[in-house]
Amino acid sequence: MSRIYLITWHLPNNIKNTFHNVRHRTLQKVSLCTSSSSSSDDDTKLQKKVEEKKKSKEALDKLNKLLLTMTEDDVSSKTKLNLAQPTNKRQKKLREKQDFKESKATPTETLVNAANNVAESIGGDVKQTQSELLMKLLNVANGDATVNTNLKDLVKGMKIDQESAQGAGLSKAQQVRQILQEQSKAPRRKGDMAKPRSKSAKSPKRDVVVEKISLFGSEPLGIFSPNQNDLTEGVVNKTWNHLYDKDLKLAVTHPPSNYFQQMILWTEQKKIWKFPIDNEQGLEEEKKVYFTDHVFLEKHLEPWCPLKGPIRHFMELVCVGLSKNPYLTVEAKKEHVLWFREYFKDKLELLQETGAIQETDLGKLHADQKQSEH
Amino acid sequence: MNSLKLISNLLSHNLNTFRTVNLQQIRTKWVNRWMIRDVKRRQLATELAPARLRVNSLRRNDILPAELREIADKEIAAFPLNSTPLRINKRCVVTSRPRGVVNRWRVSRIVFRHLADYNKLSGVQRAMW
Repeated sequence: MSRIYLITWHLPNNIKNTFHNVRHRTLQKVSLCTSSSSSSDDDTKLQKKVEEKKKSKEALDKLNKLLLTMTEDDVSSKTKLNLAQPTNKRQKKLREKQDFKESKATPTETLVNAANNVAESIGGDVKQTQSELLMKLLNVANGDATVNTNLKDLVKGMKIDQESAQGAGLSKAQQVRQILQEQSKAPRRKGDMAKPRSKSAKSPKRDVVVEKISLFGSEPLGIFSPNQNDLTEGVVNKTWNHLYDKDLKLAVTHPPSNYFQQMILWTEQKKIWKFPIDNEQGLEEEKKVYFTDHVFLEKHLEPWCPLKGPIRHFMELVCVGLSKNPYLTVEAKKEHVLWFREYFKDKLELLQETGAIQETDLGKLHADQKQSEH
Repeated sequence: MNSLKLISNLLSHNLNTFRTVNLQQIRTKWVNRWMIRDVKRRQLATELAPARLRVNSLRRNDILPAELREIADKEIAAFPLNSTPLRINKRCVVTSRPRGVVNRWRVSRIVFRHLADYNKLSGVQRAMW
């Protein structure tokens, strides 16, 4: 009995219910049988009991079989049905293209392949036979007799293209007439023969010339460049686009539903300090710079500043002032010093006249510069 | 529209000037013209502040030769007039009131009182003792 319970646990509810109903009925029958047996004699009682047991067993076996078949059906119901499916035209086209490409070998290549096949089929010296064959096939220039015969053979084999012969001298109307004639001559499909076209609505369509146009059949004319970068966008509405993007963002983002969310937004926007409070919030770049870069600025004076004199004095004072300034970045300080360099360069003549810059002041610096000039 | 353009062309008859008198209404965020002027002065002052400082430093010392200092004087006079920080005036940011401005909040006293009453100023309370 426990086996049956285990099986029912996995089944869906409707099946479970039917199963339970069946079980109930079988049990009832079994109980009825048992109840009836008590009234008869011992021998018959025993027989009946045995029969009842058999019946109950049979019933249980039947139930089990039913369940198994049900489960089996569920599994086997997933058979493949041959339903009508639409043809994949794109794939077909691609396959056709590939086949065409593969078969697009040059005539020489085809000859070589053919010669190879023939040589292999013959046997013996494959390469020699192949080369001999190719020689005979490709060297048409050797011997006039062979040329004539080949040409004759070729001409015999060729069909005269009537279309191409007349194509140059035909007018449009004649061309149209030709096409119509071809259409009428061309073999028609089964459907056309079965249903004779007597409808007047379809008759004007016949006059229209239907030419099959393949867009990518021939080579391009080269009027338009394939690069997309060459195409200009034209008029661009900056403000419009900006506002449109803004509108989109607003539509998607929701305003903060409570004060916590608003505070989060403000911290992200850097309107509020982050916790735990850090006094140097926002000065991450400055932390990377070592203090010596801020303080020792004489290195910027080295290449150009004279070693003695009023200018040196002045520049040293400037450096002292800058070293005590915590608000400027190192780049700003460097720029400050270099501005003075440019200024004094412009005023060099004046300074020399007044006596601010003297040859002795420059000293070693001047000597180095002279050496570099030479 | 065309007549206004003609008039403006007449006014700006000088070929060298690139600024034309605009008789069209200009819409700005600023309260009045004094505020606009103040804004322009502040912008220019911030742009030219470092250069001014450097030229001034050349002037204010007795180490460099006098000739250089004179040249520096002339240079600083050549700066545009609106680049001086002295020309900036502290007006109310909301109403452009020139007087009665509480500096820490940059608003006039009336606006200050209004905001304080509505609890928009952090740590500001009505005094009573």
